[in-house]
Amino acid sequence: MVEPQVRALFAEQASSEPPPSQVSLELARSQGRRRLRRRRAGLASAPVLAVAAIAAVVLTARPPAPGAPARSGAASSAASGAVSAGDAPRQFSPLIAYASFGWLPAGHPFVQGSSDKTEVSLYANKSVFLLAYSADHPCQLTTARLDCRTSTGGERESIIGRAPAVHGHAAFWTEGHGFLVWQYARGGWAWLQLGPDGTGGREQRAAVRVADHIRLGAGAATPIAFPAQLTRIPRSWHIDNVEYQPYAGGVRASNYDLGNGPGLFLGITIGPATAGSTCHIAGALKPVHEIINRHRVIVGHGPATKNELADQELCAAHADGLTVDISEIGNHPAIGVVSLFTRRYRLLGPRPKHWTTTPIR
Amino acid sequence: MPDDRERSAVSASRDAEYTRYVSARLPSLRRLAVVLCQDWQRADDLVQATITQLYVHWGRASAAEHTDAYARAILVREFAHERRSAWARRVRLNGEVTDPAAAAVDHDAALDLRTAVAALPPRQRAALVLRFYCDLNVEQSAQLLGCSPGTIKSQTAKALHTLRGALEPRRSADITDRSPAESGRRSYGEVPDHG
Repeated sequence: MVEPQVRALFAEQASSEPPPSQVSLELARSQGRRRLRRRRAGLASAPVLAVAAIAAVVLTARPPAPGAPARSGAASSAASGAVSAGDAPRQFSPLIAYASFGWLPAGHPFVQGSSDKTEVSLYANKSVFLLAYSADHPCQLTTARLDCRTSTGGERESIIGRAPAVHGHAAFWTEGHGFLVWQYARGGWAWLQLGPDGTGGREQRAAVRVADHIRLGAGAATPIAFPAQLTRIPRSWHIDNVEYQPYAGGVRASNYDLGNGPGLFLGITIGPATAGSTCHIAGALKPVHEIINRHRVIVGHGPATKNELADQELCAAHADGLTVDISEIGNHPAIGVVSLFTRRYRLLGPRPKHWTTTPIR
Repeated sequence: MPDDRERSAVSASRDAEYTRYVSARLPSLRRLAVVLCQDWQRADDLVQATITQLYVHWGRASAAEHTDAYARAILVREFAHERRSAWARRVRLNGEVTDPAAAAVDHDAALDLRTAVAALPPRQRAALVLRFYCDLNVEQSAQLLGCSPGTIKSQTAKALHTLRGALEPRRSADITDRSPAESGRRSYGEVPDHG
C-alpha cells in the first residue's frame, strides 16, 4: 500500500520548518485592487449590468488633468503633469518608473515595480514593499492617523510615533502593518514596509535606511522599456498600468493593461524567452494550437455568458526570442487577439538595445 | 446611493477584514501550498496568486459559510488548473524556479516517492493532497476542485498507480541487494511462486 507513505510524506512536508515567507500582502492588495478596477471597467459595457457597476466606473474614470498625458502610449506622455519643484506629480504616467531603491539589505533584491496614474509601487524580495501616491490621490494626516482612502481603494493607518525624517520630510511609524510613512513631496505620500511584521527595532532601522536611499517622484523618472510595440490600434486605446522588472541598466515592462474606457480590457504579459519557457491557456477557453507568423501559438476563446463578457487569449512560448501572452475581455472587441498578434504587435526581440519606450506608435 | 465617504469606509473596512484574515491564515495556506507544489518558492508564488484572487473575491469569500474552504478552493484550483498570475508567470519566465521533476535523483525510497509525487500532473497531485493531506472524502474533494466525484476517484487511482510503478523498481532492487535467504530466495525479475 502506497497511501500511508503518501500521507506520511505530506505530513512531513507540511510540518517542516518553513523558510521566511516571500508572500506580500501589500502586493496582493495592490494587484487585487487593480483587477477590481479592470473588472468594473469591463463589466460596465455589459447590457445586463446594474446601476451600481456603472456608478463605479463613473467614480473611477476621471477626466485627465490639465497637463496630464492625453494617451498613455506615446513617448511624449512621459510628462507627469505640470508641477513645480517640490510638488508630487498630480498623476503618474504608467510608462514611467517614478521610484527606485538606492539601497536594500543583503538578500532583498528588487524584483518588480508597477506604475499607474495614481500609485507606483516597488517590491523587493522577502517583503520589502514601497507604495507611493500621486497628488491626485489625496491623504489626510492627523495626530492619530494617515488616511489615504478613496472610493477606489487606498490605505489608512494609525500613527504610533514619529520616525526619523526621510530626505528632510517628517516621517511616522504606523501600527498594524508596520509601515514607515512620509510625505515625499508636497501632496504625495509614500509607505514603506520591511518584512511581514516590520515593527522590530532592527527592521525599523533598516526601513529608515532603505527610505533614505529611495528616489521618488518626477526627479527620479525613468522610462520603461517595452520589448514590443503596438501599431495601428484605435486612438482611444491607452495603457492604464505597467508592471516592470529590472534588467541590466534599466527597467522593462513585464505586464501591461490597455483600456479605452468601459468595454475593453487588454492585458499583455511579455518577457525574454528561456529554454524552459512554456505557455498555458486555461481549459475553459478551449485552447487551439496554431502557427501564426511562423510562431507556435495557443489561442483560446471563452463565450459571453449572462454575467460575464467574452474573453480570448493568445500565448506563444517562443516568438522572436520572447514569450508573449495577450488576453482580451469584451463582447465585440475592435481587434481580436489573433489579429492584434498577427498584424499590429511588433515584437522587438530579446535584446534590450532593440526595445522601445514608445509602446504604442 | 452611497456617497464617496461611505464607499471609502466600506473599502477600508473590507481591507482591514481581509488583512486580518490573510495574516492569520498565511501559515496554513503556505503549508497546503508546499504540499501541492513540493517546493517553497513555488508555494509562495501560489499563495501570492491565491491571496490576490481572494482579495478580488473577498466580498463573496467573507460571506461564505466557510471562508477557509473558499480560500483553500481558490488555492487548489489555481494550482490544478495552472492558472498563473502575472506574479507566478514572471517567476517562471525568468527561469528562477527549480523544476521539482528535474531534481537530483536520490536513491533513498522517501526521496523516490517525493520525486514521483512531484512529477505527477497537477490535477492528480491535487486529488492526492485533498484526499490524504486535507482528509476530505471523494464528494468534498470533487466539490472543492470543481469536478465530478468520478474524476476525483480516477485521478486518485491514476496517481497511486503511477506512484506504485515508480517505487516498484526500487523495491525489486532492494530485494536483489539482500541475500537469497533474506529475500525469500527471490531475485529481481522472478515471479513469486504463490502456489
